[in-house]
Amino acid sequence: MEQHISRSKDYSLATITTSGYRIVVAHITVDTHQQNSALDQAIHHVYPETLLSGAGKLSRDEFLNAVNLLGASVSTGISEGRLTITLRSTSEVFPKLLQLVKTVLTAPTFASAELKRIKTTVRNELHIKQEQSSVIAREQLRNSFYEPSDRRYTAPDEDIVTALSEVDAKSLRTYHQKVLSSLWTCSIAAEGSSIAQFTKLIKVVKQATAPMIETGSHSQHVPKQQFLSKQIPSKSNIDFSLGVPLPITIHHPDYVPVTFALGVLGIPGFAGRLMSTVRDAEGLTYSIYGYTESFSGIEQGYIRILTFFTPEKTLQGLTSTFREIKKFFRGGISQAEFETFQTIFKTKQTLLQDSLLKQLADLHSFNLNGFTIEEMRQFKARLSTITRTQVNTVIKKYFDPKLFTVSAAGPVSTVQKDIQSFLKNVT
Amino acid sequence: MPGYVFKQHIDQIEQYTLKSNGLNVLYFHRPDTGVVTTNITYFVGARDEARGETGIAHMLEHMLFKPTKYDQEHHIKEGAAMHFERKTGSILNANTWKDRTTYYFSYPQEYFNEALRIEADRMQNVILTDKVLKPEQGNVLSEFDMYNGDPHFALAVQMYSAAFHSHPYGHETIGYREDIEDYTAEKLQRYYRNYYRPDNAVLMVVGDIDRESALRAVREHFSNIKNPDTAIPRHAVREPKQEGIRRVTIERPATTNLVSIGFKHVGFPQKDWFTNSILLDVLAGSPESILHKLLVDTGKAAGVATSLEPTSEANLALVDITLAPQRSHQEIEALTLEAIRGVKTADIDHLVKKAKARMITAELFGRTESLHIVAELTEYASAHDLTAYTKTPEILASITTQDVLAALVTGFTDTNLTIGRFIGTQQ
Repeated sequence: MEQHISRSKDYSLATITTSGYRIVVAHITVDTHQQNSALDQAIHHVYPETLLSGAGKLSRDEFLNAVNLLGASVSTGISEGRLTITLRSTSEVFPKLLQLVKTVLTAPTFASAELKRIKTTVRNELHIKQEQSSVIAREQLRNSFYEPSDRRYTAPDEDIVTALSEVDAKSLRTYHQKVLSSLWTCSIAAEGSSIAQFTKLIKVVKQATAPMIETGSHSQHVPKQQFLSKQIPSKSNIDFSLGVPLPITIHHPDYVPVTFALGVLGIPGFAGRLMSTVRDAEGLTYSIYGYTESFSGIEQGYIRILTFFTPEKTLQGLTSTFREIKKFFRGGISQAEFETFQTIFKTKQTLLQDSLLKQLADLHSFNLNGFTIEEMRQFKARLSTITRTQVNTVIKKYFDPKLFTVSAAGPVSTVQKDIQSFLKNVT
Repeated sequence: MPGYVFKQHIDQIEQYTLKSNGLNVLYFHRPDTGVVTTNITYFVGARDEARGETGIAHMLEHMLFKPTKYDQEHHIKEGAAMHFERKTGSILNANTWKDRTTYYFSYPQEYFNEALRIEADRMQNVILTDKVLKPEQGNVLSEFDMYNGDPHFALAVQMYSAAFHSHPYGHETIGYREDIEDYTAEKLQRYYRNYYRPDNAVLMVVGDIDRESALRAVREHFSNIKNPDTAIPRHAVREPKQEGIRRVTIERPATTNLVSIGFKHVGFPQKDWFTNSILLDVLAGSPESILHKLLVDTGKAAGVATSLEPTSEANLALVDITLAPQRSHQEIEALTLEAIRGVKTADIDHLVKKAKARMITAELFGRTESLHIVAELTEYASAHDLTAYTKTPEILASITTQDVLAALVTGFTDTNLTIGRFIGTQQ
């Protein structure tokens, strides 16, 4: 299937031209990050739902009715200040779906009754979040890496709830204007005619709005604490996020070797060193994986290892995890391991060919970071052309166990002191 | 094809049986992807477990990733399946459910023969010892704790247990923690011998490999495996009559509060099973649904969700409501039951139409990736009705609002209901 990325001053468009599939999937992502205040974050919670809660002459019920009768879906969400709208339908009904989406984008109502409903829903969602231990462990970790104005920082729930009262139709309209005037990153997998219709919609909406280029605030700092925790007594396991912020973007020469190195340590699946030891050999947890997160073409990100242990096995689990990180840091990877992971990364690319939706998600992420198709190919090729020395160099540079911050959420109170003592002795 | 009996075409899927041992083989050609997915499903699951040995089918699933005699002879310490992933980067995993245990690999086509060799070898040759079992038992206990920490899961365990007094669907697939702690290699060996045999399995080959090569390789690897002389043990259980609403309560130091309403439904893939899936969509499947509007939009609940398992015999479907702060279980339960029992044709006619449209589109999306295709086929194969796979859109289209109303009346009578409350004592 042919892939293509084109760019203009208002938008970029990545396409996968299909044949024989009867479906269409399309994403529109808009980076709206500014100061990341509690009010900004409150708007991020409210806006996605308000966008689907009435437009033009259609009430929310009428809009939902129209979309659902098509058997289609329109979903919206904001993550790290980026709004993503995803459309899914059959090719047959896609033109009708686009008409509805056009109305949503050009004439949202932001009715006060809907706004009131959505604010209540958001308050309830934030209440539920109190016990989502893996989410909380991740948030604590990110908050220790970034200043409140950074897109990765999450304001305290109570601050967001307070700020909800300031969210009104006017602030939503202002935000909507920013959505319309910011650069759009669009991607679609469809037959040629659906791609043409989607392109037309983007042009019509974007032509009606003056472009705006604004870069949001970004600030990373050295974490002040090595251990962060939240007691959640109802859980059986303690969720952990262990991480290190890295001072590089995806364009930095170290980024691909870091991705490779982290794969060796904790690639999702069973192949990583941590899964082989902490899970398979020692039976201490069900899963332990590593991810590079939040890196972009302009912003630095961090590496994160996520796992969980029962309180009884926590000390043993952390000891085992840090022992492996230390071994990794001191010894690097062997030639055999290097060659094996070259094969593994090659396989991951081959497997993409089996899934239209995964190919589109992959293409969209490169599109978001400003890549051309050729740059994307070169970037992927680097995973097989980098050397073992380059990988071992970044391991020495970034994987020092002393640099890892540990964030825990769950029934942590009985082992909190033990964890703190353990971390003091990490060398 | 020599060595096979051709059984039937199911749309583009071909079904064969190996003459030598009765292994069922499904073949589906998806050209030009470079990827093959194989899946072997054994017809053994939680329903085949006795009291005191709950979860053993799932434990055995974990053990199939451990070494066989062949692996030991070839110094493959971690077992060939794990070794395969660690060397090739292929996707592999397994899952166990009420009626079945499933293992799958997805990989570049050049690994086809190796994947089949591993699957054939581990059908009967895994070496089960207490020494190998011990660390894996720890992982399964960690998995249990992961699930059990979730209030929805904990309540569901109690709900199934109350709903079924005799039928083995009354316990969750993972089993009870106490039973998991008591597994021995001897117990596992007994299950392995009884159920892991060619005449109790279906092998699926979906992907970029031609029919002749695929069937020849399957024959080469599997045709010499023999079935034991003994019959496959089955529990034929008729659930005793229910004579009123059954109730369960869990109290934990949590901030979450839940009401769960369960009703018994017919097995998959009978038409009435699909009618119930539409019923659940109408009740809580979208923002337009009855309970979403009644409870979430009004701020009385933080969320509503449903579950309906594709088991071959009658099982329990759940409607889960997460309460908003300060709401009482009694109030929400009464409101919910009143709303459900008061539903009229006019209330749901449009919702039924839309649920059907969405589900038919979802069927199309589900068939765009080989991993999804085998996952869906697995459920039809486990229910021993493959022909329903291609008829699903037709079955969905034939369901009327009256059918849905009839299912609602049958489902929500007192003698069919189990109601649970999760009471969080920490507000």
